[in-house]
Amino acid sequence: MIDIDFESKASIGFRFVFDMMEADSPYGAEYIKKPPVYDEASADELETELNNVGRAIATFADFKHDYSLIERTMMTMKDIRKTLSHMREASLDDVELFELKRFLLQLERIAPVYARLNEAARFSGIEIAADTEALDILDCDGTRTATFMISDRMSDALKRIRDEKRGIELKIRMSGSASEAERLRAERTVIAAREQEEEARIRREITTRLEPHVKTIERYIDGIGRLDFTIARARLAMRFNAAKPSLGGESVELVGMTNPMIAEALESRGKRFMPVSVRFERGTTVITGANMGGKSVSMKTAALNVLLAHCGMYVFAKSAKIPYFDGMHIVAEDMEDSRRGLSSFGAEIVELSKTVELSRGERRSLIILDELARGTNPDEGARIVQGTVKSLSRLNAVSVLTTHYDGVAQFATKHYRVVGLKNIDERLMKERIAARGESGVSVIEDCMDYRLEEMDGECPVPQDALKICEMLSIDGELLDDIRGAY
Amino acid sequence: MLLYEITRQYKTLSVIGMCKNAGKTTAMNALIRENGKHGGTLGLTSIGRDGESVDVVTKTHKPGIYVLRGTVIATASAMLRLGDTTNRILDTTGISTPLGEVVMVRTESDGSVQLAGPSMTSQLKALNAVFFEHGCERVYIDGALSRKSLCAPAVSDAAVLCTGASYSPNIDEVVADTSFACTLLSLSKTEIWGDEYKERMTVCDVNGEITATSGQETILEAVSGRRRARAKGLLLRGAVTDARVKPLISSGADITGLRITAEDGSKLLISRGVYEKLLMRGAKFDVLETTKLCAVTVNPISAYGNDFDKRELFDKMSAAVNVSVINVMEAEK
Repeated sequence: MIDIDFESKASIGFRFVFDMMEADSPYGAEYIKKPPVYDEASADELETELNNVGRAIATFADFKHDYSLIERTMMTMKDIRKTLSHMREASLDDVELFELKRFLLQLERIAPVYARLNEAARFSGIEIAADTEALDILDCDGTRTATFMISDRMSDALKRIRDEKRGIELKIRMSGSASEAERLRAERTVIAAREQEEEARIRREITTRLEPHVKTIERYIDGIGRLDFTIARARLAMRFNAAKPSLGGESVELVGMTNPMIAEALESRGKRFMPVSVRFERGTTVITGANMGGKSVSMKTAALNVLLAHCGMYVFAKSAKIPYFDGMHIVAEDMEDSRRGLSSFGAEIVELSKTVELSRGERRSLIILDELARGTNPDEGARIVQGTVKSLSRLNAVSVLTTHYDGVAQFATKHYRVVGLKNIDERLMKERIAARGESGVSVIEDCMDYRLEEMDGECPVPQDALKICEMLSIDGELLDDIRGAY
Repeated sequence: MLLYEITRQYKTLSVIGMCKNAGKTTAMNALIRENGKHGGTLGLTSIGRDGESVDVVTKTHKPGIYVLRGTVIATASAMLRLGDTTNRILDTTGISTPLGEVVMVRTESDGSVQLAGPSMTSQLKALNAVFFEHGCERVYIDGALSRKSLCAPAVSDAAVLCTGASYSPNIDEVVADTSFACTLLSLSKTEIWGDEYKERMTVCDVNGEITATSGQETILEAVSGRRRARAKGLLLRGAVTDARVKPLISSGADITGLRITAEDGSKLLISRGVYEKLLMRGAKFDVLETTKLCAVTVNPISAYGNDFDKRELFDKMSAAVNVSVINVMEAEK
């Protein structure tokens, strides 16, 4: 099963996606907090999940009121699972019986609505129904009110005791002297103790009668949680126009993918996320391109969508084909564990080695390397990356790495290059930068073409860095010297 | 005049005590009984947990709160089995306490109940709304002991203060300290400040200019007029203790006419001596939020054996405070 550490999840925007989702019930909230992950062995379940999300999306408009009623009821739900498990050990107290009754009433309210909705939606594996028998045990008066008391109807003995108690209470209210009241209260205390005994007996009886229902109720709780999670996923998918991924095959194909976390960061600066398309095959894909060209962003966005698909989520792309991976590894400087006291290069290489070892034991892995060996000298760095590409290509893995180094792509299965500043009118840009002065960076960001183009064979790493230096209108003498060095 | 009559115009009433065994529960019971005769549905809760059938400190018998059928109570779930009413669970509140979640219960019989409500002001405020949703016409809050955590004015419309022989064996001390507590609880509303100044200490100078002080500035620097024009008002957020205001006395600074504002009467934890010295030096106290103190109940019986003469206590107290005084034992009858 694929899993990556918490920091990596945060870094690729995975946590951000789940933080945007809102569950209605505590049961659905649990799925959002700890989403399930599927693999090839559980492919059927994953397909079921994705289909359920699709069915929710397809029925949202026509069954708006039903969804709204179900969601409003779910919002008032409390987590009663502790009460249910408590039931196996001891008899429930009044508050627990109240909570159970309230849940059964909520189920009874949702059940017919869900049945109607489900006739159209045909959700699979989501079972929600009323447990009338259990509810009748807790509501022996049949009033279906959301309060609970041990009713007089539950035993004749209880009714007799309470009548007697009531009689004395009336006498106490009307008693003339303090001593008479005192005597009556003592008498009342004895009866009240008998009442409590009888109530305790009835609670034990109720608990015993309810016990056979626990399994069924737990199944409905699971149904509520799954429906809640399905609705939350569907809402998110609709909001972002996300697509149902198609799982299987050998290569990752993402058309027009986006990353909500990075998109939001860009939007807060008045920029827009440019959708990117990629196809990563078995073997190694190298991404090269200009500084500021979004190489890492593209790779992270791919990783995000691959992981989301394995969680039964729609993906942020126009379309997506994603193989079943049983391992996912991200090696990037911003995710490294520098606490071990290794230099960033040292930590990176240890991580890489661990990744390669782990991947040998996996049936299919996704390996992401962000500018491996960037911290070392370029000559050695390039060799290390070249060697790594060779090694990765022998694995049963889809590997993607970004690099600035020349001569790496020739060993790779595929080479992508950021379109970058290739197609822009440099003169126009320089004028814009001149007009804006300091915010040249922002102009470059605006003009940068973040899309990836596939390159054939070896081609030199683009010299966009020099272009960027020119456009940033740096000191003339400095620029001349830099040019001279090329 | 009956305690109930004095307090009946208020929708929410806190009953607070100067000490243990001051007669708080007796006063509550009297109110509950009278409300049963005349009033509509009653809601009951407490600030935190206060009340066992035997007082663990003094080992004296303590009367429980005896309610009538149809009362709505808010108490921690673990307290339910300590009472002996027939209960109907109305709702859970989501407010958790060390004794379990606070639940709303309607009593389906008369009987004794154990109250353990929320201890935070914001939770009590929210709870008041829940009582009224459940049809209560009036809510009594069993306030905690001492002034340290008593009714913040935000929680209730009015308060009753209970005091008695258990506070001190010296009757004059009982009267003087109770009278002082009444003074603090009856301070008038400030005319200088609104609720918008949230700093721990804010100064208003004689020209009306308002400055929040920095963390380092002492109370003396704040009023001295060294950094700004002389202060005419000083807003102190949080507890106002002796230690906090004593520099104003010992320094010899000119504080004639200075108005010292506390958030409310319950935040003024200063001793009578310090308070009086500040008044002598020309300072005056007021509060952002006032409390309506509507009565003082006195209990001449002490849990420790030194009972007072009930007439003497009543007369001395009546002379010392400007609200109604009620002998709690007579309130009981």
